[in-house]
Amino acid sequence: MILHHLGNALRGIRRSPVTSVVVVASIALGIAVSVTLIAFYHGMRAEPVPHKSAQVFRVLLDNWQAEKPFAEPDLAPPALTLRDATHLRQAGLAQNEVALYHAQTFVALPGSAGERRIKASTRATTRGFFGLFEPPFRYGSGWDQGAEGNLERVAVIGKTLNDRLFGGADSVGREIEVNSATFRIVGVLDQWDLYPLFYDMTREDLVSDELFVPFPVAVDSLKLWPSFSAQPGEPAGDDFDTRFAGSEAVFVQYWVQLATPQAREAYQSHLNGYIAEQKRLGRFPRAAKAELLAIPQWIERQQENGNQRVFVQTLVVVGLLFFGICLLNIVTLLISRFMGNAGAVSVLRALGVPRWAIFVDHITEAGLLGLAGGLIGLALARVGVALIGPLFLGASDDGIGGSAAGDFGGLLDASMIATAIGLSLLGAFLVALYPTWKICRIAPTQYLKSL
Amino acid sequence: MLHMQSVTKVYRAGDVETRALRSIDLHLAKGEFVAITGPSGSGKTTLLNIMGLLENIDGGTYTLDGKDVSRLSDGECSRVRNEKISFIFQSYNLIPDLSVAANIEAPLRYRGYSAAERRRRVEAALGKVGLSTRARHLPNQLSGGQQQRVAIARAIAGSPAVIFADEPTGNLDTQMSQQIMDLLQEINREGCTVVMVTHNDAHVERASRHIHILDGAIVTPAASPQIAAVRGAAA
Amino acid sequence: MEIVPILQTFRFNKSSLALVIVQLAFTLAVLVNALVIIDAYRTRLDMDSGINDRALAVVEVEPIDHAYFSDEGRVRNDVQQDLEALARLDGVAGVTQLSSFPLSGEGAMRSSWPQGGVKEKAARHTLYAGDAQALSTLGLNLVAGRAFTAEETDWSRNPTAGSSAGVVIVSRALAEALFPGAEAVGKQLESGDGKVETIIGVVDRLPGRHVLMNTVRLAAIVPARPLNSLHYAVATRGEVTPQLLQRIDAVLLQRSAERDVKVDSLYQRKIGSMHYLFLFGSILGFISLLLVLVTAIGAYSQASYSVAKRIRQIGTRRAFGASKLHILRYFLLENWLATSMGLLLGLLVANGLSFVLTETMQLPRMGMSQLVLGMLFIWIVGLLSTLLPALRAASVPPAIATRAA
Repeated sequence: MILHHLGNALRGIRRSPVTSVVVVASIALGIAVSVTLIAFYHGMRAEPVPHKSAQVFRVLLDNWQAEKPFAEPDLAPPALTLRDATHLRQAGLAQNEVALYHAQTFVALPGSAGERRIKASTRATTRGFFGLFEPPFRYGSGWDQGAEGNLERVAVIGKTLNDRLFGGADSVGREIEVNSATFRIVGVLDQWDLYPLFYDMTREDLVSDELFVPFPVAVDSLKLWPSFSAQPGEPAGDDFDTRFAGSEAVFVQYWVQLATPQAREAYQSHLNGYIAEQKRLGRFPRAAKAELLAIPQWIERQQENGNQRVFVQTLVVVGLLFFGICLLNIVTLLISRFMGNAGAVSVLRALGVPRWAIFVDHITEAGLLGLAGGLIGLALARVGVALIGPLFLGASDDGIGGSAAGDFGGLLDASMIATAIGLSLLGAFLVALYPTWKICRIAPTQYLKSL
Repeated sequence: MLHMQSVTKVYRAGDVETRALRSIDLHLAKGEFVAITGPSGSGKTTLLNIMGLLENIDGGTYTLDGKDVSRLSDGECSRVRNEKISFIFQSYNLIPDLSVAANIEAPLRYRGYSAAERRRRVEAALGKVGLSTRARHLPNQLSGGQQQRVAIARAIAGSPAVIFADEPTGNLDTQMSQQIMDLLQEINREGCTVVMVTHNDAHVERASRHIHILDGAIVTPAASPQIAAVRGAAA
Repeated sequence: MEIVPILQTFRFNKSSLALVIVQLAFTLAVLVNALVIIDAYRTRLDMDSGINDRALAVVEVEPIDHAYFSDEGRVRNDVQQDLEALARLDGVAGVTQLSSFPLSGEGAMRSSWPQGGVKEKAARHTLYAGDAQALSTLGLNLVAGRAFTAEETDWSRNPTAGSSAGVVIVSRALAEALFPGAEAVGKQLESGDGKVETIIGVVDRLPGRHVLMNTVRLAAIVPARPLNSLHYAVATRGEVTPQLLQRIDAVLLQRSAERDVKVDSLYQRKIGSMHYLFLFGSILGFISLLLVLVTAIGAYSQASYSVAKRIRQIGTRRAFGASKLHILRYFLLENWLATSMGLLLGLLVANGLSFVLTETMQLPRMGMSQLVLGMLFIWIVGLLSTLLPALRAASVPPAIATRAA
């Protein structure tokens, strides 16, 4: 029975190939434009580590001055002071705790003195990062506990940097110069497109990181100046230690993994207790505020008032309306196409074919066209994200970055593919309803004479 | 007023040539009421099309109302049709989206009449066919007979010299047909030449002249005495 | 013209007419707003800001090690030597050290108000810090007061916090915003933390940090030489050339490889600062072109359907004396009327979209010229896409009318 209707639908499509092409092309175009734009919106809100989404939290402590909040309305700063981060890490109450910050470094191969160095987006992080966020490794792995404890100069590099320095070869064990220090490579990442850079989110235009170095090394020996920092009042000083070590300057971004709601509650009360304790020492003048934000909440808060968000949202609306317009177009086409077949339908009806069968034939025909349009549209959307993606990051000027080199194929994940096909089928059925209704109303004898 | 001399018409479809009309000689005087009969495919519709300047002739000469119309361009044909010729069709051919008045008015627009002149003529024509109260109706709100009367009103609104009617009663029952034939005769009596294709012998008898066509040629020349007798009786 | 009868027939094709109207309204809205953005981008790009951004190279030197800046003596020395090296280059007319560059998209902002005045009436403006050569290198035109003296331009670790000399030069727009109708030179200016500065000069025009800001004309400059950054502006003879940029890059790296050098023309930086506007305009422009294409296909299929449906009617009209031209005109007119209805609704939709974009993205409102341009374009596209079906209608032979139904 289904095959019978499919066969009828296919015959319908073959009967008027030109309108078929136009209908499919219209749907494909509408899907391509809307899905490309939705994909960026989706990407902005995607959950980077879905299987841990209920377990990973950003830690925020409000150490700002009493007079005014870090940001309206009464928001805590997005990062911690070094001493708070250190205290939390020493307590070590969570299953996994990661302290990280972003810095700009200049990288070269040893012995290439005098040559222009490569500016690399750098992540100073504790080793838990690799276990928590699960970046894909191509060679090697993250550094071990011993290396981090001993302040060993080890590094993980991104695919783009590895391509630039080593032509993509396995560079584990090789050495690179980061600023004026020599580091040994212990791991090389595979392509890792993140949009946005969810674990940072202190700037809108940050590109993916290409160099990962141990947090203690960055703070204690390299004294890598953080790209983002802020302090209540005037900076404490100009050199790294007075500015960041014992001061109220925030720059450390802190993540914890808490597997159960109980663990989360325990950690929350630990944070509250910590603030109370510090208040006794004269710190945290504002009303106590310790927050644990899940990744989606964290992304939401940082994007809420950002330009990019409004920008992408507007484009999504325009894209969906564009799809709607493409669909409107098809209504006329389908009417003339179905009505062109009125004579045959009239004969079929006269021969006793029920109205519902005519309905199923025509709605199946529309569905097939919609499916074809959806698939072609998806292929076009793949081209679309590859074209627009680099433009999205083009404003950024932070040296080489993984995302800028990637082609954003990751944006079209399973949910986007489902969206594309769902949208195209839904659209095709919607626009076919009226034309199908029209053809179903044809009386058995109406067109017999004109045959 | 209508003179045809050795008129021929050939249809070509690929290599196949169909001689639709072979050397037609026909002379109609002003005020005649001509009935054309003939079996299907004999060429009577072709003859009507050619007389009505809907199609061009391939050979011979054709003079209408003192004007040689044998070799007119499409635009000139349109002009002559608009000014001198009208049609009544078997299936009425009213424009379904337009009101009765707008249907009658449509051809007058091509003549450049003022709105007031058009209105006057529409009203007069509707009065003549007895449908003044239906001016704002749509064609599908009328019966078949009424629709054909609207079509007649449309045909006479422009005061044509000749009206060509293509089986005007073909879709109507006997009673309606009588009404239509009465109307046509009345129009004819007022001086308008009427040429009508028909299958109905009763209607043939109402005409002043009968032309029979067979295989693209006229086989019954001149007016039959029988018809003349009918006419005499009517007078 | 058959406007009235055509409008009458519209009553019987309400659904397809509605489709056309909605489609065209939306097309016009997106097209016009894309034009607004593209227009805004182009006018901002070519705006005469008071600074010749094509004849200024901007240089940012970034030491590899941030600890570099804790050695004040070394910074002073490097700045002096860098500036001297740049000044010696062929084609260089002047050099200056600045905290940040006008129109580059980056730099400090602050609020200032007349001393003793209400803080609520403060003007928010860009603040630059620079050395004594800043005015001449940027080509600023002093219209009142005086320029900085060499003595006033002191080194500072936090230059945009104000100058030790307590003086400031403001743009004329800022002077008028703070002291409307009065002489600004000599007046005292207050900013955060009780800082007070005396206005010693007014420059004709000094653009702020971002060309898209409403406050782009409000800016001030204080005499202070940054000890926390190595940013230089280089005035060139004639426009900045890639060769000159290369030479600047080379001479600075040659002085020391322990740093990164980024050098651009200011014009290039200005383009970079408008990246999002460019991106938004491009995407919207591309979508509106696709929309016009889709709409054209729609108008074509609509007209084709309408012609196919009315073959007998056309034949009848022809039989009653309509010329080919009459028929052609009829269908073009019909389309034009439908298009115009859509555009009429489109005026509202375009206005609405423009309002939303203005509110959310600080874009300029749409103007008459973009509206007229958009409408003309859609009218022409509409007529062109109906032309083929209308010609097909015109070639329907009149003999169709007598063919059996």
